Amino acid sequence: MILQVEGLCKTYPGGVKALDGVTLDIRAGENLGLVGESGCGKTTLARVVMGLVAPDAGTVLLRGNPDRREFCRQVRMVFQDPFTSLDPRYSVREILKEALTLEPRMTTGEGLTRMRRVLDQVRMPRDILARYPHEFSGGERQRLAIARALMTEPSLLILDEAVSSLDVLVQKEIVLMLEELQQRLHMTYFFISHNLRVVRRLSRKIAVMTGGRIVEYGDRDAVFDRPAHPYTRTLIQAAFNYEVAP
Amino acid sequence: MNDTRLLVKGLTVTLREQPFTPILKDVSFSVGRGTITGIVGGSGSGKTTLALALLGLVPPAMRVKSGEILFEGRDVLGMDAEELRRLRGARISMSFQEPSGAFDPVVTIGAHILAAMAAHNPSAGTLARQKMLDLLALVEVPDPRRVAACYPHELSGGLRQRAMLALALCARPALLVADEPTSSLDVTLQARVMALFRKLRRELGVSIVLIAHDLGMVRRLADETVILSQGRVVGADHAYAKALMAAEEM
Amino acid sequence: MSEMRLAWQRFVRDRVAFIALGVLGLLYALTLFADVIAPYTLRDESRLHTYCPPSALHVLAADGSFSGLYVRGVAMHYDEYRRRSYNETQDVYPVKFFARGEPYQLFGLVRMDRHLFSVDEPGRIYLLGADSRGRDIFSRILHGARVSLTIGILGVLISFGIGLLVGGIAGYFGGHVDNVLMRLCEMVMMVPGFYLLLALRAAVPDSLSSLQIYAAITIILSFIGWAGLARVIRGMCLSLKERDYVLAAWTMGLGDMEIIVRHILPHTISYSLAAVTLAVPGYILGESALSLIGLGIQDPYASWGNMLSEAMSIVRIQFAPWILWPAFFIGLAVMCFNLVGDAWRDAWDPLLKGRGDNA
Repeated sequence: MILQVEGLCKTYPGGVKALDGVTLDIRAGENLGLVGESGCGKTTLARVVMGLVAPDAGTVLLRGNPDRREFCRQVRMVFQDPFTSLDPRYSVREILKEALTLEPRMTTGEGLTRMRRVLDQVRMPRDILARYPHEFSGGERQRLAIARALMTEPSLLILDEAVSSLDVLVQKEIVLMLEELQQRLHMTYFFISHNLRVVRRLSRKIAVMTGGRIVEYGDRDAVFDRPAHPYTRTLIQAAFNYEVAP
Repeated sequence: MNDTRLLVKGLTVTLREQPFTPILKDVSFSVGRGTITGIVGGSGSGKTTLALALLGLVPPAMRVKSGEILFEGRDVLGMDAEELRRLRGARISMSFQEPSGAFDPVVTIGAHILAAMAAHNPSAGTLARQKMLDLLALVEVPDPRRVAACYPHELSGGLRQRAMLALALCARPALLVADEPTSSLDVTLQARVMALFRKLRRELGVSIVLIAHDLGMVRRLADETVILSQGRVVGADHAYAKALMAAEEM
Repeated sequence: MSEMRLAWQRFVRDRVAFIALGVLGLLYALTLFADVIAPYTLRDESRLHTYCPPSALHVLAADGSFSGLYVRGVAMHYDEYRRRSYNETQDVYPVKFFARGEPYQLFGLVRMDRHLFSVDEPGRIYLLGADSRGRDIFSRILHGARVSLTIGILGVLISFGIGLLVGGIAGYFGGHVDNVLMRLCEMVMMVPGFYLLLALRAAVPDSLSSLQIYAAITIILSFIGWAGLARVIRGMCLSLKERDYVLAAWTMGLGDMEIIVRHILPHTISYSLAAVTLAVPGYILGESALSLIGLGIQDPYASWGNMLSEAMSIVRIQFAPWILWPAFFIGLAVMCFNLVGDAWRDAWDPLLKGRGDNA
């Protein structure tokens, strides 16, 4: 068990209930895909898990431990928009170096070795350390964002709509790369998306969220082949057949 | 050929500064009456330039090198500003990917549509309001009266998208150019908007040019699909088209 | 950094603003070397030359031959209405360059006595005329510029410091902190600036040295100005802290201060630079106003404001219009700062163009 999320609740000022008692477990090696439409609370869930938003109630434990430092090192997040998640003022070297904030004992040489390794892992050339984010395309930037997440060799990667803003072909490349990385690095993914095709490809467990609640949770094939909740059926029908019941 | 509404012949568009790197290269296709034509391509494939060119809006940094765009037999690219103004909105209209840019934030949805209707048909008079509500009902806006009184920011993305369609349809155009109408929407809303396009085609006989990057969606909806890669039309057996189809499978 | 470079490229394209920047550079260079350039020191006066008009510069001798630059002596006399007037005499005083004159300390450090140009006593050279005590207005404008031009920059830096701190904290932490700090700003902004200036000045004792008065005025001015800047910075921080890269930095374990310094403040710099440039004229005018009514820099020390206090009588302006020269320099500096600030803001964000902003 890597991550235990229990009874998370969050109501925003104005009365919008973004999370309404969300409980989830993520086991090592069992990628969890979270699907749901915009406004269902999936981004809030990711932010509460990462500690960016304080929940009204509930706990998030990493291997049974609430320590934030260890959490920041072990759990890393990749954001949706690669154009806003990299600070345009810093070079690739500085961006990657910042990821090592919690590893102060690492020497410059070790840091550089680590940078080269993660660039290899995301299939980016090694000689780009002095370049700036605006010199890269969307897909390349997302690779850099993933490289940054890999710097501390995390055990859990939270990908919040990490391929949704990319071209279909680039999406596919990134998804293939993520699959390969998982096999090599033994990470677990918490993949959040409204794109059911991508989620189906990458996840072993599926959670379906609507109105701040998890309405369906189970093995991928079970959820896709025999959806139990009517909302899940609507979602699958719309995503795979582009049809919706009137 | 009488059924052809729009005919694009050998359209080549280049940057003014670099006349030898075409944005669009020898693009030809036709759109029949009441058909849906899908134009698919990745970012940078020239599909947005093509959409703008169909309305006679070639960006100032670009130049049409050769080719013509015939709408109902008349060359769009040869028209002067006044003719184009009459054409746009009245016979051809466009909807955009991000609906918020199409609306003035301090004007209600209803007032937007009424103003657009008055511009095209000043004599509508007292019937205008009823027509406006009918139009909102046509694009399947629930409770048109309430939505008409709303300001753009008060609507959800899906409702805004539909309100923009109503705006685009208020002069009953013959051709609707929809640029990425669903890519900012959730899957269920995507499916709803697609169903709406089918209905509009059926009930109004409007021809639709649908510009998107999602080949799977376009193939289900469109009668004909044009795949653009680096400014050129490519066939279904082209490597890029195959890659797109393979990506659909995920 | 590329954002800054792009803005600079756009800025350079604005010719007028570029020239204004050049004029400001020139003014500050003159200020820096005021002691060398000015023919007379601050304390120099000549009661025989009250309201002496600008000296005519001659290059031709009486016989019409070329003789090098010189001025003539002047003799004061009164006409039948007891009005003072000056006539040139036949005495010739050649203009000497880098000649010895009254001693001074360059930058307060180096003892020197050479002046860029001067004439031998009893000749006087008044490029822009003289004031009531026969002091050279050109020299005093240069000396006064030290006060008038630096008080703006110094004051803005202090209020910018406070504004950055208050605005940054309010914007980044939000909530109650934000609420309290912003109400405080509004209270400061609520009081009409000039009356607050007078009230604060009244709270400062009169028996201060000129340096202390200078410091007091700077602090008083910045106390009024910080609130507006704090609000601008706060607004920017509010939107900047929601950027994904800020969130990403937080999830990677960076502390609040690290995030503010690395990812928030650098993004406010280009805009703040514009806001600050646009704020400088307010300080220049504030100092001038205080000194004009005698509450600022005191004689014999010069500032553009206290030089203008002589021009408060219409009769004097009529007979010695050159005492208005300091007003010209105040106007020039204020205009240049506004032009540069406006152009820089437009260059920084083309979308802001034409939108009024009272930051």
